[in-house]
Amino acid sequence: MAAYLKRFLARPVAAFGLVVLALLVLAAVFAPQLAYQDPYDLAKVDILSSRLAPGTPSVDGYVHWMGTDDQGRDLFSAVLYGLRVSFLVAAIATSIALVIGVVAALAASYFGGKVDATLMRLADLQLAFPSVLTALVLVALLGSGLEKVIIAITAAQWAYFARTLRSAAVVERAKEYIDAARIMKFLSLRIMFRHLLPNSIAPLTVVIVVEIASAIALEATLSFLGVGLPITEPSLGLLISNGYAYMLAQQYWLSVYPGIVLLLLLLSVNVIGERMRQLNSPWVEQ
Amino acid sequence: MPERDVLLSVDKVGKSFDAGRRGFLGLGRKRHVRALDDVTLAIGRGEVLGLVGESGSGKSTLGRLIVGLDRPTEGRITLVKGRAVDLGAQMVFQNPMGSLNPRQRVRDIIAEPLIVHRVGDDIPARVAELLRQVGLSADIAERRPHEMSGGQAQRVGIARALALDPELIVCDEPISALDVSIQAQVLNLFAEIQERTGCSFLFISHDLPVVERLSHRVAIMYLGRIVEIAETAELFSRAAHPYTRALIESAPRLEAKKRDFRPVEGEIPSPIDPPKGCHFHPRCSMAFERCRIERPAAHEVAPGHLSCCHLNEPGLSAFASTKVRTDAAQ
Amino acid sequence: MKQDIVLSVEALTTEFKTERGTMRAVDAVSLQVRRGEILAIVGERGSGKSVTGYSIMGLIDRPGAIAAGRIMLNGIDLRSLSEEGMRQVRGHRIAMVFQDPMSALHPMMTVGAQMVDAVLAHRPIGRRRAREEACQALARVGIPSPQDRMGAYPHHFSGGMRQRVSIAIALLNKPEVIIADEPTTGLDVTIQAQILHEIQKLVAETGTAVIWITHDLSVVAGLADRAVVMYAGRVVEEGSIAAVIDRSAHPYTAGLLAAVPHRNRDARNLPQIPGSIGNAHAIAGCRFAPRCQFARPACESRPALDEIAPGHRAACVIAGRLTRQFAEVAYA
Repeated sequence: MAAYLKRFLARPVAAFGLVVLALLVLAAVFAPQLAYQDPYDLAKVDILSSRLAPGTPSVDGYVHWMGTDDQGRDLFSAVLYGLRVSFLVAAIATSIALVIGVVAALAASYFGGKVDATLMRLADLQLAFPSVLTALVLVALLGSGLEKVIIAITAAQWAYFARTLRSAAVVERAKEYIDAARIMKFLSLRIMFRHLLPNSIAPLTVVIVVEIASAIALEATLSFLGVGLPITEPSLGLLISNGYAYMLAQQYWLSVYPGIVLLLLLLSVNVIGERMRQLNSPWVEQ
Repeated sequence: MPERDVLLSVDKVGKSFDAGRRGFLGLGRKRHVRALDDVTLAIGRGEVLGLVGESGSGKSTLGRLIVGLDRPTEGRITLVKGRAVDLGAQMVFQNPMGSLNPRQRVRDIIAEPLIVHRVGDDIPARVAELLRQVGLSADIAERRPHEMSGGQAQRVGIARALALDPELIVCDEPISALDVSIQAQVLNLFAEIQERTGCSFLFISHDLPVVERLSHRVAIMYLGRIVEIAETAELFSRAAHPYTRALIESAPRLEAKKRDFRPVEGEIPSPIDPPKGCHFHPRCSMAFERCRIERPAAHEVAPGHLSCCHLNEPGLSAFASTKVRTDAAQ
Repeated sequence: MKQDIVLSVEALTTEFKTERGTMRAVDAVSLQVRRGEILAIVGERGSGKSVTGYSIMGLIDRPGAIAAGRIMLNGIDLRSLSEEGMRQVRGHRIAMVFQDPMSALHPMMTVGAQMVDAVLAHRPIGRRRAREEACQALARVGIPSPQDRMGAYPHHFSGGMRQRVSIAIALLNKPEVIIADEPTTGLDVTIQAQILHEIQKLVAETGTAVIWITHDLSVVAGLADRAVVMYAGRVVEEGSIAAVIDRSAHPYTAGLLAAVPHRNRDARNLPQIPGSIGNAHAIAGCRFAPRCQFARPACESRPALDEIAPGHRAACVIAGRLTRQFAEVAYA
């Protein structure tokens, strides 16, 4: 692990990405401590403070260094809590998609034949549609809200995990140590999870990181379009969306600051994923 | 020939694989690979049966059927039920590195079958015992496969096969992938284990001298059929089937220096479209009309010595009794 | 006869730069091969036999490089040639046959097209004549209906046939030397016999010198005139086949021969060489000493390749005093 980290950090861009992501994660974790006010707490939000420019002190003397949004919420606090939501949704959705994808891939590669054909056709069907489209259709059918958003993102993602893992697992499945396990009459579950999975998981780690970024972007997109999370839970996408109307009025901070934070988040995760992919491909110059 | 109890019985076993369809849009005739065709043999308790053949002979397929990795299309395979934990035959593979889980340590590789099938009380002791039996030092237990040599990895594979105390071990080309000097070590190990445990072996190989050294009896396969089977010494000195004779004569020998290779003609046919009648007739210098039409039956040319050639029929026995021409120095 | 020597390798050293330092895969190896002679280079994994072959062909790429030595092909030092000069020699005056014909043949070109390319790359004789020569070469290596087979792709041939095609390509420009790197390893016994028969026939007809690299001593016995035995990058013994096999003078050679099953039908236990090659390349003295029954303090310095009989040399301090029987008993 330590050796991997050392190689990882050999590229400055990757190191920078890791640092930025670490800071954002810390900001999200300690949001209650760092934020000036809880943006969900309607009692503290004063409509009179709405759309204050960055650096303007509010009624009670606090300087909103990111300004306030149209509801009068401190934008900095809203952004911190928005980060939380982004991470939460992405983590939950990706985890569920991962479990589904792993189970599907292991079953497909181990049993082969019709099982493989069916599961992979399903995955191909899923992959044929752009994730945004899938998510939109599902949200349209199921309605908006936190659980529905998670379901939508999960549905859009599981196929990537399934396909990636299946490719690697199929190669391992053909090797003799799997035959040896079958001859010794180990249970299929044991062979799949203790023999097949550990030896084929390497390419999946890269995909997981990239898909987390994808999930964050997808959730932001849905919220931006107004079909994602409810107004009471300010995701970054929602903040950008709400603030969009005020861009022409030169009240840029309502959209731009959440936008910048979202950008940093996605960039750092992508940079990390890219570096991991590089390390996983020994034929590429490191 | 010592009388042995029959341990494994292979009864008229056939195996066909799907080979897809030819023709436009895949609507042509369905094609099959006939990997095994009406194979019958038996292995006795404590016996080593050598199984020799070239590509397409079906020897590996037969090995896989016997250990249960696949099921025969026709016929039956019966393994006599023996000791306490009976899981059928075990296998030692050709590629030692490939047959071990790259992420497992040696002690886990050997212990796993014991743990899964809840055998014995003191598993670490049994693992240490097995390592000792295959001639590995105890410190190997902490290593992973890529930290060992090919010879050591193969010994681990053998230890694992022995862990469940099987009645029969199928060895599929177990030393072909090893260096020459290591081959001798592992071959000695097989002989030693066979003597000590009384386990039966099915030793699959293309390498005649190796099989000759280790086996009590030898069976020769060609394109899915057994063409000859006999006790080792008998087979190598009085081979009765033209293919066996060709095989023995084609094999290079240390004593035969600067020899004139007189090879058998032709390519090994494809198992999808095998020749009619006797599979070997297109390449056989002694083939005649009947060989093209009729599949030869198994004839007993000597006690315990069966050969499937029309020329082996009683009445043509002059052919069967001639010694195989071993090529002396030119 | 000296004037018959076609290829002479003198003190060839090839090194590879690795993370753990420089590894000498070939360490001061010398050998000669004459017109119409088959020389076998025998060794196991790590012996440096293949690297020797590739070095002669000039096919060593980074991180490896030839560090020292001369490779004299009929008077020309191949190392002194530029890359362009070497390219002209390769495939024309020296040709190579590789172990895996599937990766040595272009999978997307017909066999005929590849052979024509091979001819025209060295001799501008026009496409039609090149095709004729290619067809004749296929016939010479025993491929039935060569005209039709010219239009076939490599994957249409069986393993043995592909190897014959490789040999045919090697022969196209009538090379003076053919280097064959384990060409029959992995082929069936009856097919191997066919290939060996072809090689013998071709050597007798054309007088081409052949260097046959292998680990299989039995093949060497039947095929070659002379043998060079290598261990961990060095030559440990060389001589005529009869000398090396019947009167081996180096413990490694004796051990290898003793380990071949056929010779010990009656012996209870097959004599075996203990241990494995391990880290032998790092040893300055005799690299076989860790596995040798006869090792002594003198083995700490590298033994010279001494002539123990006319044309028979061995690199061992007790060479010449070792007979095969002695070796068998000692290894039991």
